[in-house]
Amino acid sequence: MNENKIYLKVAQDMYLSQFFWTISFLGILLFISIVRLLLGLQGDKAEGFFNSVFVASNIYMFIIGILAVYFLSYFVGNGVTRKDYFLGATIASVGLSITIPIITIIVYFIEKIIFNLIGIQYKVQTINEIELDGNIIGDTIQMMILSPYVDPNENWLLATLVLCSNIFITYLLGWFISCSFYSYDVIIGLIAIIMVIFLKMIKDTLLRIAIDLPAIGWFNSLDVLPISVAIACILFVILIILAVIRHTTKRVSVKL
Amino acid sequence: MKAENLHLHYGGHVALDDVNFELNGNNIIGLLGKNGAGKTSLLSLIASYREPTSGLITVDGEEPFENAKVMQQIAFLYDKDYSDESDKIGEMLEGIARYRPNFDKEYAESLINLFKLDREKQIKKFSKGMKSALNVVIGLASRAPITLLDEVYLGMDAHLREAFYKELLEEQQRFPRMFILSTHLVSEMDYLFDEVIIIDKGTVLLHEEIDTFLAKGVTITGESELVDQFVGSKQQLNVQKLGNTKSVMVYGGLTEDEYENARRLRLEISHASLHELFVHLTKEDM
Repeated sequence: MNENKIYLKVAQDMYLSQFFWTISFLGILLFISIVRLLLGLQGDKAEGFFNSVFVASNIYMFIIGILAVYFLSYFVGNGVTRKDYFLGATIASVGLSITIPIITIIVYFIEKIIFNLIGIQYKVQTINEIELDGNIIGDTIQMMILSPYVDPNENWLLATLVLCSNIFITYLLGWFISCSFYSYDVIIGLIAIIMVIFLKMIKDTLLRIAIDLPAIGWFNSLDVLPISVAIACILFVILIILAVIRHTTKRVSVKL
Repeated sequence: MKAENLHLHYGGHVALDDVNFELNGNNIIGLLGKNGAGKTSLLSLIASYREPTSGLITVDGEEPFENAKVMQQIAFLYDKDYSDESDKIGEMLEGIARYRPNFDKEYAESLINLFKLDREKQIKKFSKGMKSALNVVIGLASRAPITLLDEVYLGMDAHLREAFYKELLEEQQRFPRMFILSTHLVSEMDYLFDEVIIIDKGTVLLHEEIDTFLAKGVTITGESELVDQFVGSKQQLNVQKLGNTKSVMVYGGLTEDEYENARRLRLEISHASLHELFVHLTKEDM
């Protein structure tokens, strides 16, 4: 076996494992959407599959990001280096973050044709209209759950790209938290959670700037940044998270 | 494989304290030690599960930690928690085979038959014995040049353990490699070992070829005064007395003259077993 290519095997294995979880996740969401439609629970206006996935996939990716650290002992146990695990897991997470939006947008297009045929309209989404009232816990939770949104009816390509970037970073944040708990102790893990809240808010602010929405929240002073700088800053945030994950797992002791 | 001044400390605990040894050739090495002696810590360093606090471990001159070439060649099997493992055995072995360059699927199949493992059952539903046998299947079928088995056979019943010992020796004939078998149940495995390392309180107490080691443990039995006179200043591992008869286990072996002298004094000489030597060398009051 060429040891230089082991990370590609890791990427393939992790991608396939997570892909099968994802198929179940998207299948359940689709089933719920269909049942709600058939039962007429949504009236003549429906949420739509894309919008359901948009909200739920953030939480889903955060959870499977947390689970990503548990692949480490499996791979090291099979003679794979921590570096190959890191590279493989990163590639798999990119693959998954592209796969989910592609499946979602394809289902959305099919759904749109059906909605047109049976005369159902999409509900107007208010995801971007976050109202912060100064309650630190309420504001934090709102900003953690909701990410900048683009309506696929207006720009399906941009909507897909924004969904990609939202879920990719959410996955990385989950992975970052679990690596911190795995590699260090509870105190460092809790510090990582606080860092994740800040990173998510910074990334959302930058993404809002990049898609020309008004910046809100603790980092709204970044509003002065041009779009290109905001995009570069998002990439920089991604690199920082990846660098920290690599640092925490580089020489970590694998638990028996 | 060479360990030089190996130390491992974690959580305020000294797991290994200045461990040194050198292993050469395709031998079966018994790593003996009481519970908590440092066996698993040492194996986890060899398998790159963790880094030493200080000191060096090398395989063919290279450090194994984060070394893809070396890590691929080392298989470490231990009493793993399979309670979340929903795969069946075939799926699990398929996954492992992707990362083990010498993995032999046909051999794995024959081992599954030998240990009568259920192919249709999820691994988490395996009994303790079946989980142990699964670890043995992975360890043998991976055919890694360095195979570390950390007490994985303890969950197996006597019949399965016998089957494993027999298979291990046959496999060593077919594909010789370095096996390190850790155990604290020594008596039934002694015939497997070419070498033994005894580890106690995180340090290597001794490392010898098995024949050399066994030749050093001798029990002298006879009239109490004669035995005392014969034993003299030799290192005594164990003393038993019944009436005027005394039995003393000494460590260090006997010369030809001493054997002759024992015959002349009508003292009975017998060799101590590996189990007896291990137990008495690692006694708390030694």
